Amino acid sequence: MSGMEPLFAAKGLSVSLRERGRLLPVVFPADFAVKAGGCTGMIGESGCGKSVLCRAVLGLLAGGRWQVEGEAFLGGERIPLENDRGMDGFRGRRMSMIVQDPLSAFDPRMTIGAHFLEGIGRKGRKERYREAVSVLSRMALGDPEDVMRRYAFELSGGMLQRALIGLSLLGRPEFLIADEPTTALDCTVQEEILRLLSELRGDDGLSLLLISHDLSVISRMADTVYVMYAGRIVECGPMEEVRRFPLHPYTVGLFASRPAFSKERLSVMEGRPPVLGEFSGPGCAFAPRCPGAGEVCRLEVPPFESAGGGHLVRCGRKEAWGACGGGGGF
Amino acid sequence: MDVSFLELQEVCKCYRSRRKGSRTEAVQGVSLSLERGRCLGVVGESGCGKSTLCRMIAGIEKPDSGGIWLEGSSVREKKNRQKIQMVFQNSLDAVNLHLNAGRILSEPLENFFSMGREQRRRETGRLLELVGLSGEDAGKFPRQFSGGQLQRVCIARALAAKPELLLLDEPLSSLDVSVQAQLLNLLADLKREFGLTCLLVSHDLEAVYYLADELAVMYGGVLVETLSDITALDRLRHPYARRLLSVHDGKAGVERTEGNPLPGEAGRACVYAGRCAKADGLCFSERPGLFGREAGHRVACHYI
Repeated sequence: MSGMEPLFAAKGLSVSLRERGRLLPVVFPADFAVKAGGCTGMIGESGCGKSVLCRAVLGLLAGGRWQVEGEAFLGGERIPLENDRGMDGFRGRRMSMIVQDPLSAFDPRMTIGAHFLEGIGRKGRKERYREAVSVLSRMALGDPEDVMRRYAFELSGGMLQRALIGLSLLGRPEFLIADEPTTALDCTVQEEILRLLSELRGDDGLSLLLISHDLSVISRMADTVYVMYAGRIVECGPMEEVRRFPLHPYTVGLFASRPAFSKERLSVMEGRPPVLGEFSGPGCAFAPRCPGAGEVCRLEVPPFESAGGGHLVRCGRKEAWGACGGGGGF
Repeated sequence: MDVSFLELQEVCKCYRSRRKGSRTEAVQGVSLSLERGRCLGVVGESGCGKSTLCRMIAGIEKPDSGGIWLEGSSVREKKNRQKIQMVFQNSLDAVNLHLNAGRILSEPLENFFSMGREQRRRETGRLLELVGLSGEDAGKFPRQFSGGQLQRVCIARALAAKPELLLLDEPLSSLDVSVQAQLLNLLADLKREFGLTCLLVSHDLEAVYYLADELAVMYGGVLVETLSDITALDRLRHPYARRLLSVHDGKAGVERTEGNPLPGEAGRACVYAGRCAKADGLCFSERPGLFGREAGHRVACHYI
């Protein structure tokens, strides 16, 4: 893929929230990219800004209390994030999104079919119906016409997520943002949804930005990974590299806190991620929880440093890299 | 024979929909027993009846047939209300949003132990510290807590009643990985400290493995496999249990047909027959019983 422009790229994309006359930074300027036909994973715990970032990319935060700065490009073209009208050509058509809770993504008073017919628009009813059925039939949902007649609450979470994926693909987008697509699902169903997403990637050349807090999901699907903490990307690089040699103490801790069929006490990161506006001090936001934090960590936000092979780490203490928590990898 | 601490015999629960006249057999004849001080993990996918089972043990739902006994007395008896406490999946739904943490915790103290105000205040402070919060959090309202913190409050509320049996219905889903790890450690500590008997319902096999001593795998309202020593996971034989395991290895096999289980619809067939790669005529005509394969290991499958 070298030399190829990424399909999607964000440059210095930041999001802040206006509150009582001041600006709270929610996502600090972030650079990230998704290769054409690739899958970029973004790991982070709730409140770290990953969902807000998704919304910003889709231009859903324009105006109001949100302030989005920086730029995003899709296929080399600048996405007009601030311009709701301009986004019409992108949203749903060239990029789309699926969310964690598919039940809330559907209108409870409309059948699944009605959502599809509305999404297709500007065609005869019969034609729209045929198109909806053809999209749904690819989602391995059993009988698509039966699904179309049903309401969202009549379907199981897995079926609903499939329907939502179908809905998001109506406009044949090239870029799909999946915000915790399998979090609410059973592990066998999760397996099937991930397989479906992989298939779409293979068959349609769909590029994915996969957001999750589930390390196993990300490590299975993604080729590139970004780790977010308190609104900042703290580590990024090729998936294999980061999985085998996590360097930032937060990444190490995250990997170590998953039970992996053992009864040994989990090595736990104390505390919790700071909520919005809570961390105001200078320095690294992870320092209060970091077992290896030193004086330098509390002075300034560490810049990205390269660990080679495209692996970047935002940690000021090189000697602490990969050292804390409970061993490396998972 | 001695009475087990918790005993379930042929418990069935069927939900009927009046509008469509349909029946959903949520739990179809579950029998199991649990000794004091043990922790049983129940795994299965959503809709397999594990939450219904949990709610029946808590006495919230009444079984259609069969019985559930705690030390020989029915769980629906009033004296067992204090002994059985439950932690729910969605902590925001499980508390009154208009009460602060102190009052949430006071309720069981008032109801079960008739504590006075000063005593309650001390006790709520102690409980909050027990679950890793501070006594000052008593004044906070549910919305002011993070998900993990509120789940801690819920665990504290359950512990306030000094229960003998703690039911944990998916206590960790919807929480962050690092918070899950903290709560898993907390639950492990509490279990050891108070010698609690627990029933942990979860779809997360790895978390169950960490906390539980015994394992029960549920599918379509039926126990398909039980294992009294969870560390012997590789002994699991039921095709569904194997599939659950393989998902975690990242080597999931392909099921024969996709789609959701339809509990009860299959009638007399094995509940897993519709998705099982090994199923044949026998599986569709006769439901296998849960039989002992070796000591402490029962499987419900014709072909093992």
